[in-house]
Amino acid sequence: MTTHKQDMTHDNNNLFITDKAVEQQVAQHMAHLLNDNARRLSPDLAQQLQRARENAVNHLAQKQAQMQHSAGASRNGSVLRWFGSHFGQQHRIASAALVILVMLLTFLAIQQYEQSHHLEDSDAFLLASELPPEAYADKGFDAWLDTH
Amino acid sequence: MATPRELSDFLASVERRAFKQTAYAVRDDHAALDIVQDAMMKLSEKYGNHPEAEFPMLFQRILQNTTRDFWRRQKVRNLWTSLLSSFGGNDPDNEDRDPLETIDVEDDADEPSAALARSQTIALIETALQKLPLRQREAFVLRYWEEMDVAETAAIMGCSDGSVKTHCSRAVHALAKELKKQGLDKLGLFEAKLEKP
Amino acid sequence: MARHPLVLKYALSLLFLLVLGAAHAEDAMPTWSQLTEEQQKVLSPLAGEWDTLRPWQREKMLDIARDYPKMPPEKQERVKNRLTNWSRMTPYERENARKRHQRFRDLPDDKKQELRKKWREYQRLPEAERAKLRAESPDTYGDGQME
Repeated sequence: MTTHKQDMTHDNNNLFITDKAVEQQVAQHMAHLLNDNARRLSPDLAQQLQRARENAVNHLAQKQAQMQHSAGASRNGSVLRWFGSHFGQQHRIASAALVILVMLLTFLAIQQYEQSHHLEDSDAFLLASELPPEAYADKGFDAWLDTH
Repeated sequence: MATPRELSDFLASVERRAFKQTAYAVRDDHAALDIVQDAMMKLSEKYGNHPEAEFPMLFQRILQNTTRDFWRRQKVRNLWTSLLSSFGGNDPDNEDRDPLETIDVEDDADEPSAALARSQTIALIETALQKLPLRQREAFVLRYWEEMDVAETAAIMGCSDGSVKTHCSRAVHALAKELKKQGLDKLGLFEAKLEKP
Repeated sequence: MARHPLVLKYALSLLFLLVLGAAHAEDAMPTWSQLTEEQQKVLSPLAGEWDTLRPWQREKMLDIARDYPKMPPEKQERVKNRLTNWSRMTPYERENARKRHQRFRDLPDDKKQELRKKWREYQRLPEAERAKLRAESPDTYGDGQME
């Protein structure tokens, strides 16, 4: 490896790392310190993280247990299971249809909305206008106009 | 397909640094905790059935997306800081930075003890890291702290390999410059490391 | 599934197709290299960051590229100069800007002139004062209403 002098051009104001390997070394050193520091988290925080972890793990365990359970054959078919096991068959179909209808309508509404937006002018006209975009976005300007 | 035990082991290994990384990004321990909690649950819920080897990358990606969602929900956005955003930034989501923020640098006349020097160093690195532009910090954390390769980092960040290298390089330079500015070189740790053969 | 198996099956397939369609539309969002030369010329300030932009952000920018050719040269110049700053604003800021721009367009010409003057005047204020004004004014745009 080259010497200190050759690795850096060093004037009073700037530390300039010229060597790729040096850059890597510096970075790894910093990362090492950061990682070390991270390991020493306060017990309070560590505990909260642990709880979050346990929740996530329990969730997975439950999910996998459920999947095993429903893998078995069923007279009603897995689709209707999605909509809850409490209701009778009639209710299941009705609520399934309702959910689908709502989703369809939402989708159509979004399409409409997007189309109407295309009919309007694009941001190009905003950007080309007499005022720069910052003028329109600046809340302070708006407030200032009220009193001037 | 991963077992709960594998998920547990993975999360246990990653949770502390994930918390710290997020805390640097959002500058709020409470928010960082929430974000990490969310990310853990999302990993479990959406990708629990993936092989455990995919967890590191998936989790990092989820963490980043969850952090961005957090920023989007933030109401207060300062136009001033966006305008002052000459972060070389390619980044509309850059987090607020207060340019008037000053750092207290402790003036050590005496030779500091190893522990004190270490904690001072950490504090300075942490501050410098938080000052980095978003993309640079992300690249640095993923490449050097999470030790992902360029391709993985690019996939998580949603950019090209070249961008990753650029961001990394800039990050390290910026960190080094900041640390020097804050007088880290006085502690002699920084240059000492560089002089090692 | 006893009574109406067919209806349910059809409805579900339709839903799947819609979801797939939406997903596909998202995948169709071009990367920088997939843009036409025309588009790349207009959007050149964004070349470096294009691939990091989210699909809806890219879409907005593509709309700009679509209208750009129809504009006179001075307007085109403005668009190019202001594009980078525009892309750096947050979705909230941009949406605010669009609303205010709409109002601006409806003003008579003399009022528009007046506003330009006022903007120059406002810019001469010390930055600290402008920051204070911004901090004190409420958000004009609610949560969850983003582009």
